This record gives sequence, structure tokens and C-alpha cells, in this order.
Amino acid sequence: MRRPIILCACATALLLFGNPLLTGHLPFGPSASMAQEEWKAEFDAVCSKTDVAMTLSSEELKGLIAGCDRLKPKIEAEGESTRKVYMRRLQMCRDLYKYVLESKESR
Amino acid sequence: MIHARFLSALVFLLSAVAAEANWYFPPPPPPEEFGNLLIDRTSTKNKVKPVTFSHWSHRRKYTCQVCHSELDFAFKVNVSQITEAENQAGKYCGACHDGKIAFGHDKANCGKCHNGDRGYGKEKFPELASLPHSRSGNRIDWVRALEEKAISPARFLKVKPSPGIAYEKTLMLEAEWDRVPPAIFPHKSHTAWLECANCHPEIFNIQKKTTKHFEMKMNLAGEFCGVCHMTVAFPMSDCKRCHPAMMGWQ
Amino acid sequence: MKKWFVIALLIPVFASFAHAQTGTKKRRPLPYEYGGVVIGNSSANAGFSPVQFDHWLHRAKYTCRLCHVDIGFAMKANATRIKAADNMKGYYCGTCHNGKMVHGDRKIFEACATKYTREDLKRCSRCHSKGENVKQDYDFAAFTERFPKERFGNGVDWEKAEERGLIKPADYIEGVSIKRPALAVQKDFTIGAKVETMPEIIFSHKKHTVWNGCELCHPEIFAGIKKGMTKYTMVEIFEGKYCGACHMSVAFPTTDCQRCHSKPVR
Repeated sequence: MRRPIILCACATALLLFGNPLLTGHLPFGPSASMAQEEWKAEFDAVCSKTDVAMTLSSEELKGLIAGCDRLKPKIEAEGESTRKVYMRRLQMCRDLYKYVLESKESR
Repeated sequence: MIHARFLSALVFLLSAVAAEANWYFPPPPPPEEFGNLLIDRTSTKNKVKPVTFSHWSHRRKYTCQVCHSELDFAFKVNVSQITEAENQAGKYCGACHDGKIAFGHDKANCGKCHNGDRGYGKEKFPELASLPHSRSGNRIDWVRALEEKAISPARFLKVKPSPGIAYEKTLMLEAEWDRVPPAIFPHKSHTAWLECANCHPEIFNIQKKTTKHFEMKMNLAGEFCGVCHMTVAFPMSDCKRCHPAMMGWQ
Repeated sequence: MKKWFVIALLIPVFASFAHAQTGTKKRRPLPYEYGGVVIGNSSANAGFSPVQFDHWLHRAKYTCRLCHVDIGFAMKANATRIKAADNMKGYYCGTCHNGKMVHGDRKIFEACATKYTREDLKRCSRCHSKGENVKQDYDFAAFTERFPKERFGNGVDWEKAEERGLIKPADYIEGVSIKRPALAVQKDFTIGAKVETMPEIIFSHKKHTVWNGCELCHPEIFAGIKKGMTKYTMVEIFEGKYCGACHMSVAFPTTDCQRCHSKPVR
């Protein structure tokens, strides 16, 4: 008697709350905002150096470009508005590093 | 064979007719009325007499760029959207005609402009008798008058511009007709009155190569040089002013 | 016969080129109109007039970088594709226009809402005002009265206004902007003019970085990685490319040739 009830309860729980768990989109709960904060912190760290890009070495610039590339899938997984805004910001940031790197390498 | 001869005769005839039409200059107004305009964009509609504007009375005090650049007056009459309200607010005419620099927009002064009389103010014209003489237009050589400092028109009204660009290149513009000598265009005598943006790029657009490839026909239609040199600056009937090597055309 | 036909066809083409120049200048925008941008991607769908955005009020309070880099607005009208939903989520206009952010002594009014009353519509038309007769909150003449004047554009010399401390444009919003180390001071350099005897242009990075960040211009507007690599002329600038991206519609216009062409040729 108890087992089917427990099974039903688990199945219901999975159905109700399972979808997000399966897809990875958690619209609620501490883990959702933490995930956003994580990539946002990473974004801030990577793109804060645009104004001093000229003082960085080629290796550092390559590292930052790679950092941008790592962020891309994380931002693409976000909602429409966030994606729109941050993809553009990321693009500008990455392009600037690429630009400075090219000018260094052409010398 | 006959076909070709007929065609060439037709072309010749047409070009002769076109040439005749090209060189028609309207009869010149008297010197004291040359450069005077009647502005009637909305005056008659509002039951007021059109405004008379005299270029010679203004250009002795201000260079062309003050009104046509700083105050944003158009180069064609009735295009600028001048209204009484804007004048009262210190725009367009009201920038000077405010009662301090020149007579203001008071009821007593309406008739000084809104009189529909193109010859208004001609009693003051003899004041300019001492200026260097010319054969056409106002019969005054304004360019020489400025060079010889017989007049000292202001170059700006309210905001002093950063140092001007002294671009002095002189261009030789080949005529499209065979026996016509080239026109000489001196930037220097133009930059004394105007600034770059007055002509470039809207009237003379470097991209479309229209700084060189325009025709007399277009000038006479009031385009390119004709924007000014038909009714305000010395008229193009004075061929030698631009085509100095021209013989006998008048 | 075919040759004549082709020539006959070409005549109106060439004629149209000639008549493209008529010697009448376009009416310049009035000082308060200069820098105005109409944004109308999706307003009509929602039953609103397009947005009339005036740069002059915002640029007195914020730097160009804040909106065009940190908030992510594009450099051309309608290219950002802003939606009301974005604003309500706190992006784009909604970054500040959220009814909570404070500027000076005022709360910045909230932009966009899904549920609104007739009273709220007045708030909507503060921005969605193109073609409507909406009274502005700030009067241009009164607002810019004390600012140093210039001849064209808004009639305000924004550069001098900032230098003299008459405006203090903010460059940072918590949670949106990134904390950045300061930009190293750059030296001015000259750019040669294509037409001989025209004075050279003195370009000052310093004056531009007061308002912008590197990524605003590089590489989107200026892609050349070495000075002199990208060849461009006034023609492209008048079309709104390169310097013209800003200096045709928002920053002081190219009508004032001598502002840039300031190094006389020896």
C-alpha cells in the first residue's frame, strides 16, 4: 500500500518540478541566481580590462579572448532580454581584445 | 545616308535653339534694387504685406556666413520657415532686429519690412558711392571693398568660431563649349565671405564630382554658382568676372 | 538604333544626377531637435507612437559609454530592437527608468508596464511622443542657459561644459557597469586631409575618452589596427560612417569644419 503511494508522490513531484531539473533552467531557488551571479562575475572579470587592453601582453589578450568564448554558451542559455544585452556587450568586449591583439601582432 | 544627314541637321538646329535659350539673361534691375528680395512665404496668406529684404544694406555690416550659416537662412527665398514668433524669440531676423542691435519687432517698425516694395531704402544707397566700382549688379565691387578694408563686415554674431580655414586654392574650370575660355574659381575671395559648410557638400558635392562637372545651363537655372551669382553676388551676365579671357561677350 | 535607344535612356539618368544638386540647403535641425532619435521597432504593434529620444538631456547627466557600452544600446536607431519586456526586466531604458533609481532629487519614472490605467498613459507618452503634442518636462533653453555656446548642433559646447564642471556626466551604475581601471592618457595625433592645402585634423583621444570607452569605436567604427590604415574621406563621413557615426547627428556636426581641421598647413 505504502510503496505505490510513495511512487506516485515521487512521480508527481518529478512531473511538477522535474522539468526544470531536467533542462537545467531553474527559475527559482538559490542555485538559479547563483548561476547568474557566477557568469556575471566572470563577465565582469573578463571585460573589465578593455580600457587597459593596450598595456596587456599578447598572451593575456589571448587568455581574455578565450574567456569571452567560454562565456558565450553561458549567456546564450539565458533569457531573451539578458541574452540580447549581454551578447552585444560580450561581442564588443571580445572584438576590442581581438583588435588590440591584432595591432600588437602586426608590429 | 539621307537619314544621317537629316539627323545631324536636326541636332544642329536643336542645339542652336538650346544655345539661344541658354544665353538669355533677364534684364538687370537698377543697382539699388539688385539683391533685393521679397519674402512672401506666409505674409500674404496672413493678410500682411510681403517683406522686403535688401542684401546690400546688410552685407556691408555682416559677411554672408553670419546669416547663411550662423542664423541658418536658406539660400533660396521662401524656404526658411521664418515666423513672427521666431523673430520675436530672437531667431532669424530677430537675432539682430531685437531693438538693441537694430530696430526691433515693434508695431511701429512693421512697415520698415512689411511694405512689399522691392526698392525700399534706396535713399540710403548713395552712402555706398565711395566703395570700389564694378560694372554689374549693385555696381559695387564688394570683393575689393572687403580686401581694401573699405567695409569691415562682422564674421560672426553671437558665438565666436574657432580660427577659420584659410583654404586658398584656385581652380580652373574648363568650359564645355569649344571657344569659351576656362572659368577661374578663387577660393580665397569666397572664404572671405563664406565658410566651407555654406557650399560643401550640399551645393558642390565632391563625391558626385560636381565641383567640376556642372554646366552653364545649370548655373543659369540657379544651381551651383547660380545659387548666388544670379541675384545677389555679381551676376553671370558679367562673363569676364569668371572667364577673364573672354572676348566681346556681354 | 539600339545605341540611340540606350543613349536616350541614359539622358534622364544623367539629368537626374545634375538635378540632384539644386543649391538649396536642407533645413538644419533646431538646437533642441539636434541629436533627436526616433525609435519605433515595435511601438506601433503595441499601439503606441514611436519613441522620441533626445540626446541632449541624457548627455548632460551620463557619458556616452554608460548607455552605448555598459547598457548595450546600438549606435544606430532601431538597431537595438528594444522591447517593452526588456525595459520591464531592467534592461536598456529600464536600467534607470524603473521608478526606483534616483537622480539628484528625483526618482526616475518607470518605463513600460503590462498593466496600465488611463492615468499611466500620460507616463507612456513621455517617451512615446513622436508626432504627438507632448509638453516636455525639461525646457531646452532653460536647461542649457548657463552652458558655453557653440555655433552648430545643439548650440551647446558640451566639451567645455564638462571641462568647466558645469555638467558632471556619470559613468558608472552599480550592477550594470564594470569596475574598470582608469584609461592611460593618450597623446593627440594628426590625420592628413585628402585635399591638399586643407588643414590637417588634430584628433584627440583624450577628449573622446572623457565620454567614450575604447570598445565604443574600436573596432566597430574604426577597424584599422594601425594609424593611417583605414583610408576614408569626407564622403564616407557625411554618410554617417567613421567620424560621422557621431559627428553627423549627436556630437558637434561636421558643418563646423574648423573644429577638426585645425592644424594649418605650413
